[in-house]
Amino acid sequence: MRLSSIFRLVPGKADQSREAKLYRDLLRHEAKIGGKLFGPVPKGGRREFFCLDENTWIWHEEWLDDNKNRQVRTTRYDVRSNGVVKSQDGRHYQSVSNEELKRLYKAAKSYREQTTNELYQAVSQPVS
Amino acid sequence: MSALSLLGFGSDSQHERREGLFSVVDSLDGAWNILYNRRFIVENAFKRLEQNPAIQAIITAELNDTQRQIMMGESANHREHLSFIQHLTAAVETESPMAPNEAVTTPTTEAVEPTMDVSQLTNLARSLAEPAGARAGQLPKDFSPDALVSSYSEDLGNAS
Repeated sequence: MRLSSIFRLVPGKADQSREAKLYRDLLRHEAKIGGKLFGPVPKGGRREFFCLDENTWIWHEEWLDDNKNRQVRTTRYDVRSNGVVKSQDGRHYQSVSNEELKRLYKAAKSYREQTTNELYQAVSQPVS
Repeated sequence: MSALSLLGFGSDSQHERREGLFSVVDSLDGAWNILYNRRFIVENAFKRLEQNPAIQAIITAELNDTQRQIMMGESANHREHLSFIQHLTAAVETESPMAPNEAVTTPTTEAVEPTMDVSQLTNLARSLAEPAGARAGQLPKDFSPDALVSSYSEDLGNAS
């Protein structure tokens, strides 16, 4: 049996929708893996770290402040040709300190290792 | 609410309801390609980040720092080694009765000229034999200082 008959290469609309859903689910799963890279999350908190696309990394953190109010912060790191900039909660872009860059790099490295181990170990070549 | 929901990737509840990611993956045609593409994106994203000039500058600085520390470590080890050698040399010079170049002797096959005459050798042999004489019961019957001297003289004669 040919591989092309096992994996349909030209999906229909329903397939595209399911594939898009699968892609989103993969991203969610990666975000959970990424959230575990920084140690335990405080009670009532939530943390996600993931690669959104080839130039963007997202760090999302939710926590309860001293007054038990929920705080949310989403930091978006954009990798540009001349450096890395970040935007928090959709506000303007700002530069990233060397220390933060170092932590981002280490986190991304661990993220790549963990997602490869947990999700992509078996995927070494594209199906043609 | 997750970051992906905030970014417009659909509601969390849809995802939470699923029993397991791989049950979904297994049931979909083309899942393999999606997995591969996603892995490709993650790999590329990491490479782009790693190769970014800002990150490269940090990596280079850290490497230089590590190299400097190693070199400092090596230098410290070298100094320690030199100090040890100097200490050892000083100890040898102090404790050894011989100068360093006297400690090494070259073997020779040339005959050794006797420096003592027979009477001197006899006296030496007697003095050497005295402590042994105290344990005469343990010595061979034919053992005597004179026999030792004559044997030694014969050796000298053969050598010359």
